[in-house]
Amino acid sequence: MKKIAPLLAIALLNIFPFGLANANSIENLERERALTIETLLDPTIDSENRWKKTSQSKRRLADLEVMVINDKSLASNISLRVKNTLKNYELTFLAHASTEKDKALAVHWFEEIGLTTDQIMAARVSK
Amino acid sequence: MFKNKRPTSAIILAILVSVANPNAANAESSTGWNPQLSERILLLPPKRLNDVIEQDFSKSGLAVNMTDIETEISGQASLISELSENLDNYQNEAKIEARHQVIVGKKNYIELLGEQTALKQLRLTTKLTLLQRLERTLAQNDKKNKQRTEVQKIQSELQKKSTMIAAKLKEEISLETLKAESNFSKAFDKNMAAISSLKAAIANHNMQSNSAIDTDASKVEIIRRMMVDTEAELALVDIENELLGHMAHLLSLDAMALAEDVALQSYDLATNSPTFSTPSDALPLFIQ
Repeated sequence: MKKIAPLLAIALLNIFPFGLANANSIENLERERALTIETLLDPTIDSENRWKKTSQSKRRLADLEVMVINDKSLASNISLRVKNTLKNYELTFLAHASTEKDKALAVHWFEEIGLTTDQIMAARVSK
Repeated sequence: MFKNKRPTSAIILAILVSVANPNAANAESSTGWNPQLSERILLLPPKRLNDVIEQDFSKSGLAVNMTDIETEISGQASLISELSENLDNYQNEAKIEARHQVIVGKKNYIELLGEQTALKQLRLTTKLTLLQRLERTLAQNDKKNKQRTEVQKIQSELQKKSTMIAAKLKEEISLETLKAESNFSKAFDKNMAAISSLKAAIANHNMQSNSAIDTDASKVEIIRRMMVDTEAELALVDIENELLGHMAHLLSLDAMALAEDVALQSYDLATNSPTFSTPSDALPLFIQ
């Protein structure tokens, strides 16, 4: 478990990979993305509920991602955060990237932050 | 008609001084050109930039001044030409007087040309300063635009990706959630279709080819070209100044020749008149 903890910490940090952007469209997307990841990591809900919630989140994420992609005001807001957020396609645009790769949103996100099934299975619980 | 008397060294001195320092005439002039154009001029199509600058100049006191001098120069030139044409009709003292008038006319003409050249120089240096200011503004805008373009480029790539997988994504979402397409998604598709048809109409518009060059890059290019043209005009003004110097030199030689002719005529008169310094010279007085 101790080995997994740092990985989870990294994963949580990746919710905001480059900090909050100034533009509203990016903030909204980041917020929705954070909620989606929270659902993915929530140990209190069963898999059926998680699937249902994630699917709904994906629907909202898809719309928010389109908003960010077409937000002209981002070009006038020249900040490194905005630029880096847009460049990090795989983690910023989860709905689009996961669909492009023909993977479930959760699987795509776990893989992008380096949490594959093999790695989790290979992890050793130690004190 | 001939009020002025003999050419003197004062005239020659005046010619040389006025040509050597053409700005002296302008120094006292309070009317100049202070361009009333802001950086908003850069929003205009590049082809209109020069027209607007010239329009601003034409409203200035300097332009009025230059037009006045131009009129005076034309008047002076026709006066010189008229006097020169009639020069052969005069004899002796009248001819000398006419030559004197031509020299005075030429002196005035050179003075006016000197003033005009100084004003031209002032116009061109003011224009050059304005163009340099505009070029600096464009360079600053260009720096900002480069950063903006980078974000736009990323967004453009993302738009392509999004369009490619839009249908697949919608299908997946509707299967997973068993819900109809969101209102935003429907409205977005509708608007994007409208934008596409408008873009196609813009691309096919016959004025599009004209406005397509309206970029900051082409503006910089045009402003630089205008700066080169202005500097070339300034170089021509320098040459004109040199030309005026030669004209003044020639005129001073003419004045010297006239002065010599006048002196010679006086000498001839003096030598041809009878003298009575010896008894034999005075003889006719006694035998009459």
